[in-house]
Amino acid sequence: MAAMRYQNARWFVAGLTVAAVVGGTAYFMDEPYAAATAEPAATVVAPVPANSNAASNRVTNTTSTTSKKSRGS
Amino acid sequence: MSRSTLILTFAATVFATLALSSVDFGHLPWALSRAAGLASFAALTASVAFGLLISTKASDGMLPRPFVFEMHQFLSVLSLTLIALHIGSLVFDRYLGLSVVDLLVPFTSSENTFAFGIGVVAAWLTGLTTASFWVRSRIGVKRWRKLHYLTFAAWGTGLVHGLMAGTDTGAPVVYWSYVVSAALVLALTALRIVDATARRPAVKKPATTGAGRRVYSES
Repeated sequence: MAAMRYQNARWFVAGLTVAAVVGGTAYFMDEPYAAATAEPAATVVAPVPANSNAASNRVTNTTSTTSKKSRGS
Repeated sequence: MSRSTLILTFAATVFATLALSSVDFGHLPWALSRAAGLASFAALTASVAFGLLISTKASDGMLPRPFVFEMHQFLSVLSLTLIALHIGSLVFDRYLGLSVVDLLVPFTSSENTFAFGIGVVAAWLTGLTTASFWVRSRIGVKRWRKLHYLTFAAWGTGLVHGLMAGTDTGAPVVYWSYVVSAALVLALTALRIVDATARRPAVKKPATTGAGRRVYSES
């Protein structure tokens, strides 16, 4: 019977698949998930000194580069 | 495995999935889903390739036919198992937030509707064609053959889903694996079409030679 005859081949393919899925999962687990899923940081505007004029105003936009990554399945 | 064992296993899996769906597994379901999705497409491609090797007889003399048939059937079941893992793990994923309905009914997800929906279609088609192995004697070879052609649709929709929704499509190893898979299946399909055309019985038309002798042409 073919099913019994090629049992070793089936086990080999099944083992290879389990190794690939476990290895792939471990590889993807290493990705910085927290950074990838973090919400973009709010824009921070530095306070304007009371004695400054318009030319010396320092406005700092520190938008985080770790924006919410688009993901598929 | 008996039918009752299969039904019990399926019911237990569904029950366990629903019971655990509120548990936060963090990053694990997402990583598992990606790995299982890629592996399922590889298994489906291999299954389609082995199926085409059977119909084209391209592997005759190199691989024993029972082995090719066994691998075709086994890889089909394996692919379906991996698809179940791919979809099942997404139930636990907190990021996409897809519901069970989104994962089982095509084109119901609010996000990335087409790309996710076509993946659900691919899953159902793979399930249908895999199940057809066991009903072949009941439905007859002709109907089974027609049903089995859906494998091409399952593979094609799976490829489109991978290309459109896959997070890792941009990675060179994944991109090239899609290219190689497509080239393999398309080449074997072309061989299958050429083979089927060549095997079609030729219509013999009577032809008359200049000498008035009636002969039958070769093709």
